[in-house]
Amino acid sequence: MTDQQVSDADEVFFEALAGRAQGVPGADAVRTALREEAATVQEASSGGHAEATPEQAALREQIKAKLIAEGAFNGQLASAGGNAVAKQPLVAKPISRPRQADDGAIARFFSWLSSFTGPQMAGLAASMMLGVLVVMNMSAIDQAKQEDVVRGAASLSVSVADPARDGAQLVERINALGGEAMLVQLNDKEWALSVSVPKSESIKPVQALLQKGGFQVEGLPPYDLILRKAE
Amino acid sequence: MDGEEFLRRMRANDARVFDDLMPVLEKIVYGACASFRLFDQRRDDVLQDVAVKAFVNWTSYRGDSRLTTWLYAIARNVCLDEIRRGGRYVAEPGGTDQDGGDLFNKIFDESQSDFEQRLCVQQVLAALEAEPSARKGSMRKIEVLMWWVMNSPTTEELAAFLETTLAAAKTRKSAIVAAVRELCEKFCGHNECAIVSGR
Repeated sequence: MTDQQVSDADEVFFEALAGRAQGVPGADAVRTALREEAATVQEASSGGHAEATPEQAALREQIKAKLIAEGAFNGQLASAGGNAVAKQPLVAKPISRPRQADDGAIARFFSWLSSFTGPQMAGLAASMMLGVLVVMNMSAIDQAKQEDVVRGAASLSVSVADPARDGAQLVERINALGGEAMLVQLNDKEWALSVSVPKSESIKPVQALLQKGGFQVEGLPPYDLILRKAE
Repeated sequence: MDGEEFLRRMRANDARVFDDLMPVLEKIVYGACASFRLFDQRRDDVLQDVAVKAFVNWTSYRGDSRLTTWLYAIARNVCLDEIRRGGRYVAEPGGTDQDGGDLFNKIFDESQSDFEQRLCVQQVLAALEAEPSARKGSMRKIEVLMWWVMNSPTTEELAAFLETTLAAAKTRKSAIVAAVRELCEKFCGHNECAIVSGR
């Protein structure tokens, strides 16, 4: 094949894949998909995996059982790992949590949680602390200056059909934008969503996402939000 | 854990590889599922299927690509199967947030045609991923394409990356574009993977 056989349209298409040509939506979609894939693979390869949540641990046990049934590892899988995490008490259900958090952020969250729902939730929050302590060891955030900044409005809420589902999706999106979110079920109808944003460049995108979702957040994070099950 | 270590430990029936690899696998599956808008139970089902394929059919990993790339390819295929089986996630009608809409739709702001675009492109990439290299030791089209997208190089830089001549690099570009166009036509109905609304 010679240069002449590379058509202009092909060249434009390939340039669009490289991000250098505009107006080729299909190429943009291919480029976006490949970049998403690369980002996922990069993050998975980078290490620093958080401790499994009780839900993740339970799912891993389920997968182990299935692998044993399928004959993986000649049945040796049953003795691998352990069930310690799966046996943790599930007093409060931490549906999702930040990849990183520091002592201040967690203390602030539990302080807010206990003030929101009274003494019973304070006890519940204390029991949850046991399950979340491990996250504190991953602290890498410098929040020394946070006391000087204006906080976002507290206890903003939205009513949705499925707070657990929508909250989990919000946590994913917030984390993808560089924020850190923790979702906790308070009772049958309410879920608490605590959002912090350690990277300054992520604040606006996270704010925009929350506002798009109906939370009227203003000012700088952290934000303490409520998702309420619609009646 | 790299691919070599994975293969060595699987051959040795080292069951602890499960505990070491699951956090990586979860991140890959969660990332792939997010691209397909698969969440909750459906995402857990995908994770389970991917784990079975990875740990039971581990001999299908040849070690000629990164382990994480291989796992992502499995995850993509399982996600596609899940979409074929259960369709796209559709938010419940009559949303109940403050504006009367649905929070999910607000978060993702994605139309049906956007989703179709995403889906057809993923099928194109899955098909490219399944293609073996033309010659032993040569890079596959998907690998060259990924490098091109991630590095936005000149054709001269592509030639250097492929350790070949400029003319051969141009030939390679043409072959990749031709393959992508053919797959775009097959899965998107358009040779540049464009989705036309209301198609």
